[in-house]
Amino acid sequence: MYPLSSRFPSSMASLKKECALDFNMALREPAFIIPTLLFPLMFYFFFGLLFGQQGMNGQMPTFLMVTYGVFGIMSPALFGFGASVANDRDKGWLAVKQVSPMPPVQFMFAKLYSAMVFACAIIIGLFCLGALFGEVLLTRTQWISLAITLLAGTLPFCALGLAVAFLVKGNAAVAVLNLIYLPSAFLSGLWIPINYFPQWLQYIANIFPPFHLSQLALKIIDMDIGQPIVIHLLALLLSTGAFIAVAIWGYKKSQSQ
Amino acid sequence: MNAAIAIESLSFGYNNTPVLNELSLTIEQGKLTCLLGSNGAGKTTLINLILGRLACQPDTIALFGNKGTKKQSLSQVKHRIGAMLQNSTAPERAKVSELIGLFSSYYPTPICAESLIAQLGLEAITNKRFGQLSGGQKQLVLLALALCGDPDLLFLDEPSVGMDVEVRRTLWEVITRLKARGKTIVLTTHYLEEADALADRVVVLQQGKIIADGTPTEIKLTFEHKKIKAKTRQSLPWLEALPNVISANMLGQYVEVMSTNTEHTLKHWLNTDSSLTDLTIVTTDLEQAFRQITHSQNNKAPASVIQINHTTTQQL
Repeated sequence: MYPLSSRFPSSMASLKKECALDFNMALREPAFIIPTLLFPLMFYFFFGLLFGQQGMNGQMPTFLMVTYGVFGIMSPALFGFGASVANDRDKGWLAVKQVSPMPPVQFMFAKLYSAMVFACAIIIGLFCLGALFGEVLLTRTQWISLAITLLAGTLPFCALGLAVAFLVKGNAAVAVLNLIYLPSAFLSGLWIPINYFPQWLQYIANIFPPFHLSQLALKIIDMDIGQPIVIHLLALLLSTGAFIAVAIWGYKKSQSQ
Repeated sequence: MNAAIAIESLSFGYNNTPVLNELSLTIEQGKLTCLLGSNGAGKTTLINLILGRLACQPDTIALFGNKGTKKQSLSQVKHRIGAMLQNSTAPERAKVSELIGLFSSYYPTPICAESLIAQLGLEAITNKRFGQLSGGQKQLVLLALALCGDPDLLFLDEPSVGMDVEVRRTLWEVITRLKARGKTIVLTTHYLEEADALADRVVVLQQGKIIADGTPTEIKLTFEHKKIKAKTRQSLPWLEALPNVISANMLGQYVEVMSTNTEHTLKHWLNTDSSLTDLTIVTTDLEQAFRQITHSQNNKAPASVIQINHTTTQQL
């Protein structure tokens, strides 16, 4: 055994390297970067700014900035986190790391860090577009609360990505994640405001975590459909817990083959 | 001194298919032990169990005398272990230097990255991405990751797969140097030649059991047979009666004779058969030798051994 004192600074340095490498590798992957960063901004530009300027009594750009924010932060969480863990597992890289003395928490933290940095970039991009071209006017508290809600909102989707990563192998994981991502984004009212959905579809939306996150964020700007905040928080917490449980179960199952 | 690895009656199976059967094995420190065995003999499963990638019954495996519950004991010695796993890769978009830098940071006393890179001849590729490397270079980088913590116990699971002659020579040099520094190494391989060149001890696994354990020379005597291929007018029964011959069969115009001692067999054959021409001697690989051994263990009748040889040859 080596003394803890010599272990601590080295583990901080190690954590920094882990985060830097994970982030750099994501940056070197155009197939990840372009859709993740560009799609939410592009969609918002078209549907929120070009065509939606006058919708909802001129409130459409504000509303869609929030829902495309949710749509945007889901992608680095599901794909940057989930799909990359699935790939590492598939290619045997996760095994190499598991055998090394690397603390498993460090590996997870680095992936989380990358997902958060990309989420930040998307949030800042959307806020800039909204403020500059969409006449989105919010108070400082609203801007900050929105950013924090969206950032923290990556967690349930990281957990979901992780669960899929340990249940489905490699490329199939990307397909499964897309099957979850796009339909749940649409049915949660991230592209078309949930208020325009028929009542029964609004009920169904309750089963999707993105719906609850978007309602939570919309509450900050007073544009949610009026369910109590507790329901949304509880739904997000419970689903995060469930995804983590599934991920742990899948991880154990994958170990004993 | 504690043994590097002490395994006591370890059993393991996947979904009711037993892979390891009451296996006990002690590996001393400072020795290179080679695990030999055909595919599915349980070599990789054994290594994965030792490394904690597969769960086993408690108290069956002790590393450096550290028994306790498996998880604890493993995390206490992990920084002393390096491993090159079978069929593993690194992320395609990571640079070689980044990978080595990251893995060095996992260990309390890493070796100097520059000297490691020089030892493995990786100078020219440190700035390349892992995905741009050739198969052999990838293996060397994975070896570098196993070595960068200066481990006392090193696992190399089929390291030479995908390596060309040049790269394999580098691997052998590195292993020899580590041996000289008193490191404990566990190597699995298909190649008897590799075991012979490097190992202090060879442990042969067959269907999850240790069927032989000894120095490379002892193992070779037991397992390595040579095949004599030639044209002759003599009959098969006559050939089978030659000393040290275990089987003989026809293949086109040629006869193929398996012998445990080629020199002895040939001495008699050459002396008594003037029709002998076109003679070549082929070393059978371990895979073939194993098939023979298993078969002769299951069926003692030599006729079936001949049959097995025959089918093997046709497959080649």
